[in-house]
Parts: sequence; structure tokens; C-alpha cells
Amino acid sequence: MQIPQSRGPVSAALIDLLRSSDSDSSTEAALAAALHERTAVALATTDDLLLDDDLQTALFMAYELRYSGLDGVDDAWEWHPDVLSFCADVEVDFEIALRERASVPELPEPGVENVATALFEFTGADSGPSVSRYLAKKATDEQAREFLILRSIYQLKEADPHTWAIPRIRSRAKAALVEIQADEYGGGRFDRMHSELFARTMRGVGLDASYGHYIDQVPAITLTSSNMMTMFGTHRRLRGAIAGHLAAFEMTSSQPNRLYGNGFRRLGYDKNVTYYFDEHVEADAVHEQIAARDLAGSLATDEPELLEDVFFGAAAGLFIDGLAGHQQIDAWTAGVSALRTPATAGLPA
Amino acid sequence: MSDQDALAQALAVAEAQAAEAEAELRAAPASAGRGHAPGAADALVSITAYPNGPLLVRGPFEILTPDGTVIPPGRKTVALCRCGVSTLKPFCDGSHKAVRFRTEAEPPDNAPPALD
Ligand code: FES
Repeated sequence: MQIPQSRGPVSAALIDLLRSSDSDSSTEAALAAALHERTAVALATTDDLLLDDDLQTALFMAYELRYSGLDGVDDAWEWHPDVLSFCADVEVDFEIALRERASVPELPEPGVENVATALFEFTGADSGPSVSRYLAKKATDEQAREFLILRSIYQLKEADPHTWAIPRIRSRAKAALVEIQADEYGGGRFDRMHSELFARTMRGVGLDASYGHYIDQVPAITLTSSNMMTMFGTHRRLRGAIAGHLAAFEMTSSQPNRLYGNGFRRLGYDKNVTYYFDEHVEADAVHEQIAARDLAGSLATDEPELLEDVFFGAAAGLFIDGLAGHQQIDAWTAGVSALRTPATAGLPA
Repeated sequence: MSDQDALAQALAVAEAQAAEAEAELRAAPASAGRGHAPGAADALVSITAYPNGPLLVRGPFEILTPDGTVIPPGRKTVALCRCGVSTLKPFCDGSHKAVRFRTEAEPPDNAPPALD
């Protein structure tokens, strides 16, 4: 994807470093030192790391090297010590913030049934804001497009952050995760991959579906949501959290997707646009069973020391996506855009 | 042809291909005898009863209407509604949670009594 615009001193310093591949080593060292210094200052002074545009943009960029890369940036940066140490600096505080703010429910005794039941109770009690009800009943065409733009940051790489966990877990939990992910990737058929179905939906309403196209328009919380998944997925230590995140995600997805589909139908869109959502109503009703019992339940039973992180991952996911939902609904009910700058792409000239 | 028409056509082609591929898939393992040829495990259909939720079906199954029309499963593993409130029957749509559908804790003991 394109390199995002900087949103402050840290993201600017990271961009300078990533673009410095041909520089001599003293220039590179100076740029790395600047990044390190500015990161320390930003982490010490941020009001809220979870809503910090500059730090979350920089982390998103560094993480993007683990996915599709950044235009014009040497892929070797992915494993460069300067980039890894930047990530590590932010991750320490990021994880602390998530653990402090996401409220983990009382833990059940280990055991597949106990874990699944507790997850269903926990996710069922989630009283997050209802973007889906808003979409179904009230959203304007412009707000519905904004919804797709906000979603596009994750949905165009849908499933990828959880796939990191496959080689990190074993046994029944691994088989369960593969079963879910295979379905996410369309059972091996490109045109049925969920990310591709989402791209079709975007194109159907006249939006640009190229990966990362709208990166500069999304607020920090959207990046935080994606970064959280990448942090959970790419640290073996946090494999419990990525499994719990997936379970909670799937368990709170079927009905909202039905409402999203209804919203786009209400606005006059046909099956080309709504298919993505309709497909998820059915798919996620399958996935939530597998994710709760066979993935999260088995994992927490085989490795009881991961029990707490399974619930942490679930709670963190609901918490962050709840914050994101509040921001959207607050903006829309106040009659303003939920994006950083109003979306213009895709609108008739 | 408008973009929308092109997309609709692409969708139709994709669905036809899927139906074909699924038909092939169904035809293949049916000939493999249970427990014999390599890959025989694939010839078994399994139905897993998930507590308070749907039945998950895996394997070379097909779902038919009473007149024999195939209902495309859309995926390898499907969830069949057993609470009765899904709006996508025969598939589960997650509604069982909203109506607090509860299954019995234990499967029924339906083994015949031992012969005297
Ligand atoms: S069993 Fe899920 S909706 Fe009926």
C-alpha cells in the first residue's frame, strides 16, 4: 500500500527512516536515533495511546511491513532491528493500556464447555454501541460509504491477523482455526475470499477497493483496532489473546451483518453490495461455534496458562471496537463525518 | 454493459462454478466404501450437536428440498438450525442466542435394553 501521511513527529521519523535505504550508515543511525527519541517522548506524553493518531499510524506502518509492504520501501525493513525496537517500545505501553482498560470477566474453570459457555455469556452481555442498528435504520448513503471506508482498513485483509496464530498453536485448536480461516479465504476460491467479497461491495458503491487506499482518512481508533490484532497475532506469547479475539469477533458478528445488509438494501443497493454481509450472517454462525469451543475452549484446556489471555483478547476486541463504534455514532448523530477528512473518492464529480 | 451488470454476471458465473465443483466433490467420495479406500474418512458425514446451538455438518453431504432440489451449502462446514427461529433455514443465523435456545445437557440414553 501507499505510505500513509505522517500524523506527527513519530510517524514522520519512521517514514524518514524507511525511505533512507540508500543513505549512508551514519544518516541512517541519526534517523533511527530520532525515531527512538521521539517515540520515547510521545509515549511519555500521550493523552491516550489507544487514540493517538501519530503513534498508531507509525505502528500501523511498521506492522504493514509484515503484510503487503509499503510502496517504495525495502521489504528488509520488516526485520530491521530499528523497526523491531520501535515496535517493541510501543507494544509495551499498548499492551498495558489494553490490559488496564478492557474489563476481563471472571474466569471459568478450564474445560472446553466452561470456556465456551463463559465466552457466550460474556459476548452476549456486550452492550456496545450499535453501528449495525444505525446502519439498518438511519444511515444516509454518505454515512454508509463512510462505514465501508472505516471497515476497509481491516476487511481488505480480513482474516490475515488471525492466520498468524496457525503455526503457533497445536492439536484440536489448530484444526479448528484452519477450518475457520479456510472458509474466510473462500475455501480456496479467490472470488469467495471474504476480503474479495468486501472489495466487491466497495466497488459496488463506487469506492476504491485498492488495499489501504483510504488510510489517511480513518481516525486513530481504526488503526488501533487493526494494530491490536497484529500485535496479538504476531507474538507467540499472545496466542491466547488472538484466539479469544477471533472468538469474540465471530460471536458478535452474525446479527450485525444481517442489519448491515438490511441497511444497504434500504438505501437501494442490490446483491452485489449486500452479498458480503449476507454471507457473513451464515458463515459467522458456523464460525462462532467452532471458535468458541474447538478453538478457544480447546486452547484454554490444552494450555490452561492461556485461559486468562483468551478472555483478555475477547475483552480487548469488544472494548476497542466499542470505542470505534461510539466515535462513529457520535459523529453521525451530530451530523458530521466520522472520517478525518470527508470522503471524496467515488463521489460523482 | 454497466459495471453492475458485469458484477452480476461475474457473480452468476462464480455461483455456477461453485455448484459444479460441489457436485464433483459430492460425486467423488460416494464411490469410496466406508473404512476401505484411502481417504475413506472423507466419505463419512459427521454431524456435531453444539450445545444450545446448531448442528454442524461436515463431509460429503448434500442438502435437498423435498422435491430433490439441491440447496447450495456455500461452504464446506455448515450449521443447521435446530432452534427453529433462523431466518435462513435450514441454516443457522445465530438467532438461537437471542431466544436463549437450550439443549439438554446430556444426549438421550436411547440404547436398547440389554437382552436377558
Ligand atoms: S440454531 Fe442457530 S438460529 Fe436456530
